[in-house]
Amino acid sequence: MGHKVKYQVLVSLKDEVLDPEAKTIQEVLSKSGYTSLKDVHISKRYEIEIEAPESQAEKMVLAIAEGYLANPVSQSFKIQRI
Amino acid sequence: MKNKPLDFSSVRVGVIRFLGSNCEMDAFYALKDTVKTKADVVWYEHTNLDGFDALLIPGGFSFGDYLRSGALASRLPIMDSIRQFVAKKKPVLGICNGFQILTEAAILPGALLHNDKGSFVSQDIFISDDLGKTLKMPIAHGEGRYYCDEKTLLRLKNKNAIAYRYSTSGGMTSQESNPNGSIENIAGIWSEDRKVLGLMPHPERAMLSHLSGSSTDGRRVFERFFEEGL
Repeated sequence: MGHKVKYQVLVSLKDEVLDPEAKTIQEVLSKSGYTSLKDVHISKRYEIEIEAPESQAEKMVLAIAEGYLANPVSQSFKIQRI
Repeated sequence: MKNKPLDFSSVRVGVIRFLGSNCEMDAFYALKDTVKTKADVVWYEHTNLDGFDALLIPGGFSFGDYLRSGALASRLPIMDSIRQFVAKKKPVLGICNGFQILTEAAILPGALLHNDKGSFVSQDIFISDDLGKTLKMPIAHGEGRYYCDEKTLLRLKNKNAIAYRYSTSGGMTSQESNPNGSIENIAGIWSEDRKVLGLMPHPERAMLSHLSGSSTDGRRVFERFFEEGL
């Protein structure tokens, strides 16, 4: 068995792009009495497990995040080792 | 406009069917019976597109629209064939999910995001084309909000690449006539060489008056596409 490395990739809309789902949730929460609530931000979380040496795995998860999981026009992403 | 007779009978169009496409037969019959081209439905694993003069990427929910709408389809080997097709300056039309696939593949600029009101819209709307003609046809999508950055928008305008905008029946583009929050009411765009056209509305559902109420305006979209692209 090789070395397994696990990452989480968080993908969300860029700040300047309207997220109707987040905005709707925020509005409902505010109307429900959470008046000091200022912002709701939604991310999609992917867990990626790679069986490879760490340097290779890091390149792979970056390629997957850039090439597939996030659309550079509208989204940004963060990768974290977990 | 180019002064060509509207005879497309020698044109062979490939309609690409992905897993989850659902408008490919409407598109096929629109081409074959109304526009009167030759047409074949091509399964996406068949990546040899030799012999086609034009391609149509139809609507639907390719690969469940998982990841993002059009995202998975846009990363398959057939897209390499489609890119080569585009590089040869041959015309490609993307309708609805087809438009989403073309933007995900970065063959057309921008992205199509969740509608601003958060819900799926299915209704007849009006669009105005870049020649000022107003057309009526249906839309049916959850992710049709055209988005691009300022620089891209400026470039689209400078290149006269905004093909269609959502409008009133009189051709006015207003906030009220924008069904999904698209930037500047954009419903469809051309590539800079005007060979690739992507749009969210469904021209293939507005071909025959007995099937589509009063509108046969979809014909105009196909004619325009072939006039520009062939």
